[in-house]
Amino acid sequence: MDPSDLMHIYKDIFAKKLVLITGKGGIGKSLIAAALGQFLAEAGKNVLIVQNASLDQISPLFGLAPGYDEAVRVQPGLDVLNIDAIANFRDYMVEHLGQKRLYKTVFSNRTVKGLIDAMPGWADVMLLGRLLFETELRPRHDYVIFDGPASGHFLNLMTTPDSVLSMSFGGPLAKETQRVKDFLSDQAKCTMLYVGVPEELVVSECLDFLPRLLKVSPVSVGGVIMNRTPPPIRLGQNPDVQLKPAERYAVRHSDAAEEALAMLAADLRGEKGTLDSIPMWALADFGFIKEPLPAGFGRQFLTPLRRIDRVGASS
Amino acid sequence: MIESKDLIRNSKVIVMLGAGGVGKTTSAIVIALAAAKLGKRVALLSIDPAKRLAAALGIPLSNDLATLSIPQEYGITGSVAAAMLDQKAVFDQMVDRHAPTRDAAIRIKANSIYRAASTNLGGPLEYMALAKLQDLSADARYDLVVLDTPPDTHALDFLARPNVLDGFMETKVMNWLVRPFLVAGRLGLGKLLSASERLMGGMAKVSGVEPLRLFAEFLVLMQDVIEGFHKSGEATAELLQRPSTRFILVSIPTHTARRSAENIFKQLRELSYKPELLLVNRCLPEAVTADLLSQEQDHQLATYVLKANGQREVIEKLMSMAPNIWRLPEREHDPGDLAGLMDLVAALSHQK
Repeated sequence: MDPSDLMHIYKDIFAKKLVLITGKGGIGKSLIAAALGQFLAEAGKNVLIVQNASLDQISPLFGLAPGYDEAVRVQPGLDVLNIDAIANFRDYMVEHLGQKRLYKTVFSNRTVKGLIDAMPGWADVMLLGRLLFETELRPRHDYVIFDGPASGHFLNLMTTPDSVLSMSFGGPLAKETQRVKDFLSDQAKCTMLYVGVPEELVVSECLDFLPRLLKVSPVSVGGVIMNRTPPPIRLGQNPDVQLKPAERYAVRHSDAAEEALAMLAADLRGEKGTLDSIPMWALADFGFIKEPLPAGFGRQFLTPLRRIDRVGASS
Repeated sequence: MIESKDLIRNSKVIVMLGAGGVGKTTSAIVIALAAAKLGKRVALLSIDPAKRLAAALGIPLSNDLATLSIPQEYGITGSVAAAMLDQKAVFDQMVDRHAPTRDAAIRIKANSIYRAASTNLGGPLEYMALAKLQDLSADARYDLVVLDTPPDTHALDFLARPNVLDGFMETKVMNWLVRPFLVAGRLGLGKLLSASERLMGGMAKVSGVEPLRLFAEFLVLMQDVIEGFHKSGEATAELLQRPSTRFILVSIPTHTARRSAENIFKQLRELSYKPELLLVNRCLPEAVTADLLSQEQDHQLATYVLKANGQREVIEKLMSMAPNIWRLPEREHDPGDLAGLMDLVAALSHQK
């Protein structure tokens, strides 16, 4: 698909500066973040992908070693940052507050880790604060994409500002937290993508999760992506011909996916239809992702197989 | 190569590790059922609120162990009791057990830091819940405890430092910030607070004073509980080092999951734990792989041929890392019921 057409398809997403990505573990969140980043970078934008993971899983997709705490430029216009709470705290003190000396004299890594580990909510608030910093306070990129944690943890992350505020500490921490919350609530600036795959278990989790998230999250949901939708299979009609194992597998695989997508459409778009306005796209299954990702991968990957609409109105 | 039966027979604790989304909870259940099939009385501790799996097991999972009723047709001679750990409940139990008086326990539970830490904020304290492992391993009613660890990155923190507050107590901050409060705690909390607050000037620039005061109060109140945690943390660390404790690393055949597995493997080695084997879930069924790789395929199957080749490549790499690999086939449907889980148990028993 032509880049400008793709830009148009995702125009509501790309109208925001910060895109948060979540979904069940292992369904391709990092790959989607990488594909979005690569596509935007190839369209001439400057993009930062932020992760908060034990291992940077995005730099390797571009053929580079995993990064820690410092941004890695993986291709022109695309930076990847994997940051933990300690580094976030350091950068917050040094870069944001300009307290390099205080940081050096008072805080050792161990101290900071001990403190952050023990203070509930701090690591999360600092992570969200980092997104605010990169997007708004010192923007060095046109877009910030947050390759977020899996759904359960993400839900906790989104409720952290309220939890911290409810402790009514007052002082700078509360002020920062309020600022972070206001920023996340700004629909003109932030949006969220939920990623799933067309499998029954994942879809039922999505149906359970999205309404709960919508209830507590300050960020609005800008779209749902169903990743790894298998290609439709058309085999000969002769019922006497026995299918080979691979054919049988492919047919069942694709039938199961169709069923799962139908379930998603029915439950989210049907009478209960609370999520009627959220666009949903099915993306194709690529079978296996080879590394490094070739140029143009993002464009190809993000080209929707189709939009998931109301039951019977799939196009 | 370790046979699955041998590994299960010789273990008293099996810890399942792996990145999110690789089927760790399912695998934990499969291992538990396989052990029960060998006649073991198994306690299964899960942390993953996968409701469908709870439904598959036919019990409402709660913080207390409930025994699964498994139809006789499955030939299970042992038993499986399962619980889904509720972080707050376990934390509360620890406080009740270790606080010096009932009144102290009540005051701790009223502290806002405690409340936040033990309930909605999750985070590092979640693996405190794994203190439960300790209790169960000493429980004569069970031969084997299977532990499903948190789906994200915290699992290894737990192994590295079974007692996170203990680590905190040793730090400079502890001396600098909290010692005066501990003294104050003995002398009467109110008086010394303002003096100590001066010490916190640096920190307060970042956080404000109130969170620090509350936190120090929390630590003062928690002093005895922390000592209790400390002891149980030491015991857990010892338990994890025993030869009858096994670590099973769970993965799937993609490059991303392989990197995670390699990373966890490396960290385990650094902590001098020995990951016994790698369980690779969601492999294409053998017959399907063989078919896909054997001949010119219909172009409609190109995606699957790519998948078969890719999986083979990943598994080869995984084998160079972990000598013991068990491969479990992807199932046509989610293993969302007992029959599906028992199919995986059968597949497991064929692993050599």
